[in-house]
Amino acid sequence: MVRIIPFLNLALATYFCCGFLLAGSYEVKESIKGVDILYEVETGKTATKKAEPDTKFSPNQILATGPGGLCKINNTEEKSEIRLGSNTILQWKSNGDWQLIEGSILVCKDSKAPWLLSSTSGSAEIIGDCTFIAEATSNGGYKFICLSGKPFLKTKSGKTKIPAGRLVLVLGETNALGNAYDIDLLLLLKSSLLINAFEEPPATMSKIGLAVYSQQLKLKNKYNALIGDAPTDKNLQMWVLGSSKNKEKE
Amino acid sequence: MKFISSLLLALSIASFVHAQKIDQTTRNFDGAPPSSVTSGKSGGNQGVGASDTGAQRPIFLNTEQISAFAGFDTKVVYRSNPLTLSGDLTQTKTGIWQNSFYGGASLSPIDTDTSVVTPVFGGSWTISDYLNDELSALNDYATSAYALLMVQHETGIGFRGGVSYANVRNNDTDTEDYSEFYPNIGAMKTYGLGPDTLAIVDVSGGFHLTTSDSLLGTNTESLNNWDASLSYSLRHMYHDFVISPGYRLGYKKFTEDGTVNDGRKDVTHTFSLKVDYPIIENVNLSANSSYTRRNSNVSSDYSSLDAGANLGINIKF
Repeated sequence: MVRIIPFLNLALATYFCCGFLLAGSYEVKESIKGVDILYEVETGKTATKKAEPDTKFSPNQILATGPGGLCKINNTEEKSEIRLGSNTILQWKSNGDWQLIEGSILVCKDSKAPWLLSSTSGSAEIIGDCTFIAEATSNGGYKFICLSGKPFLKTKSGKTKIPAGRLVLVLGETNALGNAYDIDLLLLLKSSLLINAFEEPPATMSKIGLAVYSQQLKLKNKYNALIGDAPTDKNLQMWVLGSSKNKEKE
Repeated sequence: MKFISSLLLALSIASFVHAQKIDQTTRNFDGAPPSSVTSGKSGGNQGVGASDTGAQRPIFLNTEQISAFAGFDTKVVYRSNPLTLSGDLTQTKTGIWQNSFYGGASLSPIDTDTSVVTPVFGGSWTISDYLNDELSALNDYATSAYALLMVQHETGIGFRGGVSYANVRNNDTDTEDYSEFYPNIGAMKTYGLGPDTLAIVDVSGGFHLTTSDSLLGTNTESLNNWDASLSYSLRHMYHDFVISPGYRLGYKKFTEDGTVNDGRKDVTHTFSLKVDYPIIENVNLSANSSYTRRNSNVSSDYSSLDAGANLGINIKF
């Protein structure tokens, strides 16, 4: 928690002047380990409180988790569910406008309405029903991993359809889409705390299961490597399994 | 083996080709791996630990419209009642050596919002040698073919429907003893029972449109029947072994009036146990046994015990 306090202060300062827009509310449904804190960001005032179950989460608020912390919020009107991983800072800026400042989230988006998901310097509009994981990267962008559905990602560089099982980099510096990789959904599902650490599976688990089935039918080969961080727009870490040497892809 | 290694290397390089906008240069660097990679083993998922987002392992998907497979199975089995007759016919106990070649293909799956639809077709050719000399006249070879539409629904239930064809020809006389068309439907649901065990429930049914020799009468369609079955099996992973016990309940209603099977109804219970062990990639060794008991309303009761082992090679293209 100590580690993320400076980031929280920075985030609070950065978004101090943001306006408050009405857009229904999310409710905290599950909070695991760590510290989950809700930060109010209103003109002239800031307040923090512990995010207990049933705590309302409204636009212009920041939800943060500490080390080992996990949190789930639901919006019953939109039937959307958002899960926050540990050391994550997420701001709901306004209806359909979110910012992942640090960490990772899983989103079950059961709505055709577009979402603008930004990180500290990258952003993309997500169009269509889907389930995805977004993970902030060191270059200021984020990884977008589609788990179900076929959403479109719209950036300044254009609009791209992302099928389930594909990871695409939303770049920080150029605000465009970077490399895309098909990744092993089954392995990701087995090893993801955002999927497995909660009492209930994600709301769209049946559709994720279908995507895994479809991918297994098309699977030709797996590679002995894992994708890591993107320290810059031109670098992506590639960790070779079973090797003491790791690789960085430029 | 060297060829396969080279192919894998080539494919691993090719895997990063799509959607590239950035230079492909790769270089080594020092640093600690992410928490999701602690002691990863080559070729498997072992050692990949949990992280918030999960391990992101690149894969290569088949971009062709068709995926083919082929294989060979050789099997030696002891059968206590190969003639499926009632009573204790100890003289007919025999070993059977079966060799099968098979192949098939599936078309590219069609993703809809709620299901994945996959057309599959294939066939096999099996030759059976009875090791008991007194039964060598039964040596035969069987041919089968099938076309299925498989629909995996988001509820987790897999539906299938299609038609299969089979025929059995006598090895000595080269005459067709039996053939059938079998339009059929089925549904399957799997459940996880803990981290290492899957439970599989399967129901199926269809109509056997048969042609058989007329030794038992003049009607060559006397074996036509409706059938339905319900099975429950487990698939338990124990180290490298896959242990699969199962039970199947089958029901047949024969349809041809005025034949030896007029009004016949059979109920069959089958208990089975199979243990699979992968020797190397694509090569599997199995031990299997089954006990079958048939109760019929026209004195066609029988029971039989099978036990044997088989070696299989399966290759995907």
